[in-house]
Amino acid sequence: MRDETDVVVIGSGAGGAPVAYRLAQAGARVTILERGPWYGLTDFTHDEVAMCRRDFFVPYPYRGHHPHTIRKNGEPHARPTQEGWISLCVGGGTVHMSGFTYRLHEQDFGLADLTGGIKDADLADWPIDLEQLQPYYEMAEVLIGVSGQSGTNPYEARRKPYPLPPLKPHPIASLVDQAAGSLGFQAFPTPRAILSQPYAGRPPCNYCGFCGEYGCENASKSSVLTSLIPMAEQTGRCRILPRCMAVRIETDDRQRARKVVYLDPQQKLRSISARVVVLAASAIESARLLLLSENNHHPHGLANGCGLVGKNLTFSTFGKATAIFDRMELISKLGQGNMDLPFVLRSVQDDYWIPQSGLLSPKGGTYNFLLHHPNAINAAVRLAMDSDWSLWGQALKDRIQSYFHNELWLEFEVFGEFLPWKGCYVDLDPKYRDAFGLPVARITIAHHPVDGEINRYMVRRGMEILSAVKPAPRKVTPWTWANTTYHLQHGTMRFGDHPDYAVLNRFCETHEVKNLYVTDGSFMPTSGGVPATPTIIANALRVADHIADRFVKKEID
Amino acid sequence: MILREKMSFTRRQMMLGLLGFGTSKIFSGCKMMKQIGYGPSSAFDPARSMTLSAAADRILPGAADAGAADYINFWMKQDPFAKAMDWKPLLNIGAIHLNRVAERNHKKPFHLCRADEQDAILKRFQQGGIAAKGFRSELFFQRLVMLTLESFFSDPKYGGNRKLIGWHFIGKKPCWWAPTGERL
Repeated sequence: MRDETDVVVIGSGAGGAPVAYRLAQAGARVTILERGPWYGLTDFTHDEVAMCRRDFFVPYPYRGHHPHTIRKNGEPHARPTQEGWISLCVGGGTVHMSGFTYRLHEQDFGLADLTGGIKDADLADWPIDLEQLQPYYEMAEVLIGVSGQSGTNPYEARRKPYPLPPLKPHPIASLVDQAAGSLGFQAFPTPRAILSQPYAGRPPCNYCGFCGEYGCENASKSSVLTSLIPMAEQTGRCRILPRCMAVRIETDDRQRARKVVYLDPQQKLRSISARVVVLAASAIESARLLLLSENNHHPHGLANGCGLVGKNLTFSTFGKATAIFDRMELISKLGQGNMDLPFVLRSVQDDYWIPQSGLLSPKGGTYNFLLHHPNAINAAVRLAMDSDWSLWGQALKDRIQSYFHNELWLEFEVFGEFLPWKGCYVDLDPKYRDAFGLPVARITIAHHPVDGEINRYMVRRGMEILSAVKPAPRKVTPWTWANTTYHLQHGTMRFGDHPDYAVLNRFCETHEVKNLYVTDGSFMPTSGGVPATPTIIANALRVADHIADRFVKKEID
Repeated sequence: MILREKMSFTRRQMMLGLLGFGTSKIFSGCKMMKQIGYGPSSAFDPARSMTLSAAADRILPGAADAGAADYINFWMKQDPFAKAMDWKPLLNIGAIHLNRVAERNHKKPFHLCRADEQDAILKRFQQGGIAAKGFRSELFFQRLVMLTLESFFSDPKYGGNRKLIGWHFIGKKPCWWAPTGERL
């Protein structure tokens, strides 16, 4: 049977769902191919083992079923890993995200120009600016439902208030405000993709605190699974095929994307013809699919004449520190009420742009303050690990009891720039194959040396804020720095106006293959100092408008 | 050897029973066997299962009663986890070494050693002090700590956290466990 449609979208996460919704709404027939299952709300439990420590969201590597391989810091051989997989389900990574919805800053669009280049870094400026993305940020926030307080972030130029007021913070937030203020920082309420009030038929947050790493059983988290996917379905023109994995994109004799070959849930090869193909399978998997789709005209991978597909892979540079407070001391200062609320909802972006620091790059990032995740196993294992495994027996049990009953852990995490350079890229593994016999994506990762320097600087500065909190914490300890958040990935098909230096044009269509668009994080030439999810959604909406416009002008046949 | 350990196991359970632990259970052998990851469906030789259970109980006192052995047994049989994470051989060899050291030093299997004897043995494992070809005792110890903590605080459907003992210990309200808790 011949299957054909107007638009095929590969991937149903932050990059795919907005395009599917917007184009279906504009009248196109859309088919989404999603490799993972389609979970319902009742599939999302607080089962920490299944969600965070096993394979609910990410498959295991084992003989003949390798998800990815990785080589870290110059290791000679790649080994199978789960790392670099974001999420395998309808809704993608937005299902288990924490939902910190900051926008990019002006500087993120012109790092090459502003710095004049950084040694060994492969910087490129964006072909668009913040101004062009702003209306789509606003659209994205309204479509999915974002809560926040406008006018409080001194580095953000907003035209409209957030669609929802901020969530209720834990009372310790006021202490963070004071501590930050006393050091000249300005803390502001963190915008979250979580509903503070009923919105679009979904109930408000129940403050259980199981956001990051979990699916929200309440539909209060604004994943695309609870917002854009159902909206796309409601148009009656969007078909979603879960457990269908695209394995190849084919072109016609005029070098236009025409057909997608995929494996259906029974592992049978099928194909679907389309006028437009939108690829949004994550920066790593999208690059892999183009490399797998080589043909006579594209011997090094589809649309890879410039050789940049898979290059300049960036993640987000991660750092974290913890302050341990005496719960009773806090209660005597703040009162018993609201002590069980899970969110701190405070961020600081005063170190986003730090030319005055004298470091090798002026680009810092964001501090996000939060309480330690309510996960019990994670906390217990961390207590054991922090002691280098020397804490066990009754002493460990007492320590766990104290953690849950007498302490409160306030933390911050740093979202920092991950400079693109030759040390981090993705290609096809020459040895390992996935369950379907296809070469897997091989990740080669090392940080640009400047990343570590900036990140250490930021962790130290953040620790100053934690130490300035009154009543004073018992202890402030760095947990990690110069680390990597693998869930945030970008850069493997950067966009730009010159086909020699960019895979995609400014509308995220490949320079070499017409009607083939890429809308996940791949397009971003630089990672930015915030989690990219809202940016990916906004950009996908922008691209969708462009495609719709081309349909209307009959430029696509 | 197995027979001897089986009998000593029963004696130990009798003792525990007399001390007030699960008195009603000591007369229903089958149920009891199942509860320590025993019987035909076990991922481990019964003696090893008892060894691991005893070690888990020293790593986190109360873990054995909360079902650590059942929990570990569940995951070591569970594909694709068991296929992906090559932990079962490590746990097996680790249990053999625990017993070897116990027999050498105290002339009895690990699970029959006194608590202080067990702790001294485990400490050597933790510090990487047991050298054998292809076996790193500290790695075995760390895996066992991780699985023990998982068993104590996990959803009870995996065999650990019996009677929600782990969740009562950390003292959170049932709504905190929702929706897992609502199902219970």
